[in-house]
Amino acid sequence: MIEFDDNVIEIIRKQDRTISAANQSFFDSLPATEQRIFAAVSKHVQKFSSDGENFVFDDGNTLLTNQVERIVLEALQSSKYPSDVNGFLRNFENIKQFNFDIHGNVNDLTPEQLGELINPIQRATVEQTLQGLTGSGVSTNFIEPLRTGIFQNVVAGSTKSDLEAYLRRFILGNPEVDGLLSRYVKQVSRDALNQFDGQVNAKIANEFGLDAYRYVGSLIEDSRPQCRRWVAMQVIQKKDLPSEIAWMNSNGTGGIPGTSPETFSIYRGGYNCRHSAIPFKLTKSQREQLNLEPAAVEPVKIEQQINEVEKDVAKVEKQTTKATKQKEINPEIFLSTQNKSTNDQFNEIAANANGIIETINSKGTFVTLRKPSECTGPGTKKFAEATGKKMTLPTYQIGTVSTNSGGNCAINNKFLNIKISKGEKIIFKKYEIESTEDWLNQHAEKYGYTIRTSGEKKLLTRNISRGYQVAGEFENGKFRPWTISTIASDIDQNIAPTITHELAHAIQNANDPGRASIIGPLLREKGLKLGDAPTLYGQTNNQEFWTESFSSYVYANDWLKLSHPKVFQFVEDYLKAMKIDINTVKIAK
Amino acid sequence: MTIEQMQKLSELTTAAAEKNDMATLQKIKSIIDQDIQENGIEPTLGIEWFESSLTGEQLAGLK
Repeated sequence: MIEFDDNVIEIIRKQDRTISAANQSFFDSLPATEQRIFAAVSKHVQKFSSDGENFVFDDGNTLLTNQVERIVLEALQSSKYPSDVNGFLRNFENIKQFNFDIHGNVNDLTPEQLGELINPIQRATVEQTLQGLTGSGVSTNFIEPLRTGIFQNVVAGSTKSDLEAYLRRFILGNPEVDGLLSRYVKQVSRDALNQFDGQVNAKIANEFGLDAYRYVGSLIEDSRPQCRRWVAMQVIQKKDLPSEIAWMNSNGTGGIPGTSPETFSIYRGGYNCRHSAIPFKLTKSQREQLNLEPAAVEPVKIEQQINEVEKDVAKVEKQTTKATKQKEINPEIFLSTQNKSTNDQFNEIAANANGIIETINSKGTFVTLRKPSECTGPGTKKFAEATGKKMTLPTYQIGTVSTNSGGNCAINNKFLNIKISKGEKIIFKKYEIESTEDWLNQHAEKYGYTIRTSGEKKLLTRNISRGYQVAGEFENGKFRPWTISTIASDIDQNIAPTITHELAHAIQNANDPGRASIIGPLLREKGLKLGDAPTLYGQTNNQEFWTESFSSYVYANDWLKLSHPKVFQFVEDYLKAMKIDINTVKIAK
Repeated sequence: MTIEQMQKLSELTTAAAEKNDMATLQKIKSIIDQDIQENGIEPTLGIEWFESSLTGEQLAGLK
């Protein structure tokens, strides 16, 4: 294409190099900042009082913990970080200038026309990035989790060396995993420049009615099939974008959900895509050329596509293996007399959302999977011996489980126990629950329940020698099972929801101190009462409200969303408030 | 036991557990045991709410 001559291609390459260099330079400066924060916080925690060995949970230490935000902000301000951020932000001006050059050449647009369009985008993006890198973004994503972690160490009575190890891991990271500040800052800055460039291109395409894109940027060994295809095509007509995006969704990899003709310039070939989709207006001769020679674009050969997919599969496999290794409960605290497959299934459920296994491992929560005979006091001793741990710990460290419980989780997260009776299974699967009388009747018939009427309510009941037990109720168009575990137990003796229920206690114990400082105000803010819980058991207290809501969210997501929309929203907001990444929560399908 | 009774007992359990008031916790446990004797209990989680409100030491200290 005439418009994309060597000069333009060179400008595009320069822009590509500028973005990479800007990110790298910024990333290289982060370790020095982290060291400064680590030194300041380490010095501060020396002031914490202890009983000689362990920190004590008193007013003085609480006050000192609350000073952590100020300490970190002072360390950041006195480091090179503010000037590093300023240096990084100056690159938006460079990217704008490259866009002036590219669109001046390709689309004959003047700097005035372009300035009018690009300047507002630049101002908004710079402001947003600045806020993310220095303002509320750093507070929310780094300082607050750090403060909470220190507080939890104090409450748990950690030793000085425990706390120092925590600070080192949290702030400095290790050779395999960056510290939290680095991870967060890299994510923000990596997206900022590329998405700014994409937003500019999208705005120009829309404003000037441009009808084609040139997909540019270098190809590397790992380039995705769609990027290879579009670079090879040279010209993608706007009218073909829906079919090209569909091609990506069917044959490509790593596309960003929500990619559409309108967002094509912004999202391009997917996450971390290094390519640009530059809009331009086709000339008459180009139109004719394209119509006459529609096959001029050489399709990617099938063999090549297969090779690409093969590479992707191998890569994902490798990542999964690595992830699995990181996402297992430390064997030292995982006690089980079950077979390997059951233990693996438990780990799979525990890996349901980021933060669960990390919580268990960091708190040293003993996790036990035991048979009913191993749940009593004497049974617990035998169980401990049978796991081969030769434990010298007193029994209370791993608790007991009564005949009348399917599991439990100590309020201080010392243990999390699951009882597995004969015939019970662990299956991560969705349960179809409906808030209709038909569904209630069918469930009753299928699983041997009797429907009883109590005022306006229809009760799902099971006869026992002394009367009957309630397994659920239907009232005002809402069905509430006793627990999600009840439904799973009825249908296929599945205890996965019970496991999730106990894990939800562990998350709450670790992230909502006193199990009340976040949940209480949040429920009030949403106008939710215990009686709004999605299950009867969830009405017991705030803790069971949360655990049953979370189990419903995971195993009966559609039902919760439809029948209890406010609770559905509560689960997502509470997870966010506890710093659990909502996107990592696996929903049973 | 009705939901309202469970809610009341749960509040009392939390208060007693915070003060490590083992005598009250034992009374609550006895009430629960008696109720199970008389009325049975839905088996999937049962009295998990009670056990999950306590520490290991407290749970082990109850009959």
